Amino acid sequence: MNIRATLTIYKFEMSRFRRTIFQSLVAPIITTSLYFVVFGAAIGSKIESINGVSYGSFIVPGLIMLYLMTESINNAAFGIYFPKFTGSIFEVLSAPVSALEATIGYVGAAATKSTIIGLMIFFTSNFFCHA
Amino acid sequence: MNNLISVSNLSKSFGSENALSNVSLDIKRGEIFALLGPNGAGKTTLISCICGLTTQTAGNIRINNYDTISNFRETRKLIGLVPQELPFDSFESVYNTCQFSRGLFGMTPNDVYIKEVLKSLSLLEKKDLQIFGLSGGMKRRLLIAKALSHEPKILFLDEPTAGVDVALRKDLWELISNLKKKGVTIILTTHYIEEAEQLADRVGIINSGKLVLVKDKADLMQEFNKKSTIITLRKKMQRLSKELKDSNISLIESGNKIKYISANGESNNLQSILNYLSKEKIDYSEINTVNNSLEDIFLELIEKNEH
Ligand SMILES: Nc1ncnc2c1ncn2[C@@H]1O[C@H](COP(=O)(O)OP(=O)(O)OP(=O)(O)O)[C@@H](O)[C@H]1O
Ligand SMILES: [Mg+2]
Repeated sequence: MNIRATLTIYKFEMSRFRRTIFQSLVAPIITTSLYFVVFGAAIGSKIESINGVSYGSFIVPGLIMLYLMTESINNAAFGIYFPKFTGSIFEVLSAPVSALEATIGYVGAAATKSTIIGLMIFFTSNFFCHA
Repeated sequence: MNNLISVSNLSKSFGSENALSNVSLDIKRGEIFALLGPNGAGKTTLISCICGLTTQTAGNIRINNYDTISNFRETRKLIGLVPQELPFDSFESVYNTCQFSRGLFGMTPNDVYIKEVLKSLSLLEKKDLQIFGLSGGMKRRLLIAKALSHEPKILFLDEPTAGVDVALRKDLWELISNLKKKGVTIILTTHYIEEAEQLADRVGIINSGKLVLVKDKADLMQEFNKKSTIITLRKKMQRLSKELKDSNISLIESGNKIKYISANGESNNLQSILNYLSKEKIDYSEINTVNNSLEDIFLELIEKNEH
């Protein structure tokens, strides 16, 4: 196992995340906040709560999962497809890295990023609805 | 065991098109091997097969006695590759991208070594710049730095000096010679025959996917050691007279010049041409003799191959 290569890919992807913090983290949080405002607060206030759970709180897990899944797919796809598009994937292909090791690096980074985004959305949701 | 890389009966086809057909080639340890050939000959494809970017249709490649497919970890860690194109993740910094290359090959980060490599390619001042801020020639040098960042034993250079200025080309040649001194085996492709003539120990010529010839550069130059003598006439000659009829003698530039090709120091014919000219009182203004360069040899071989 070339664990160092996996780690290198992971770190590289995470540094891309830090570099593009606005697109990758701030943007999804702002969009979900809008959802909370529109659906949770504005429409939600007209909908009765069921078994003590308000409509605003009810949509929180759904919105988190929505972003968790789209972001993890986007990130993993982008991380692999963009180098293929520019041609810089040659480096990974010519390195002593197996497909599995590369996949773990890219997918692991994508999973970490989307988990961070999910957690951040969860924290922001606390400002909009109180369970 | 002197051969570091041995390619046997390698074929690669893309659909119905044969990019490589039945290529066999041995690269010796520590040599500089130049691969020449016209556009689309299959140079890049051959390199891609050896480095694992594409999989061959038939045949096998062994590096240091390991198979490039079943033992790819052993073979690839020996290789540094500088591709023909300039592909980059443009937002990464120069220094980080080199450490990334190093890490991919399973090596621990080495600040001193990376800086040394960047310095040898005069990129040290640019180390914190993002890649899109580099000029084209700097990008090419960065590709070389990346390829060297894991201390490879074999370096593939696919047209390393395309788009590089003259001074820098000389620097690169020096860098390549220095690497050779350190024991790195180098395989380069180029369209500048001058480059092969300067650098290579052996030359391979590839055309339409077939390896036409592999030879020591010195032998090649020796074998094709020919001189062309061009006699510029003061007056046009309509056609060669009977006395001058010989396969080595021809009229060029619509009869204004006589061209004579002599092989291996033979010069009897030149004497007879000159005798003939003075006998017939034909004036000439200039006699010019040039040695055949590798370039002429190359063109000649490609032409022969096509017939
Ligand atoms: N991915 C591909 N799909 C289809 N055909 C390809 C592919 N890669 C190369 N070829 C074909 O294989 C042949 C050899 O191409 P290759 O890139 O090896 O040439 P080359 O010798 O490197 O030429 P150049 O001097 O222009 O770089 C060409 O006819 C090319 O069209
Ligand atoms: Mg090429």
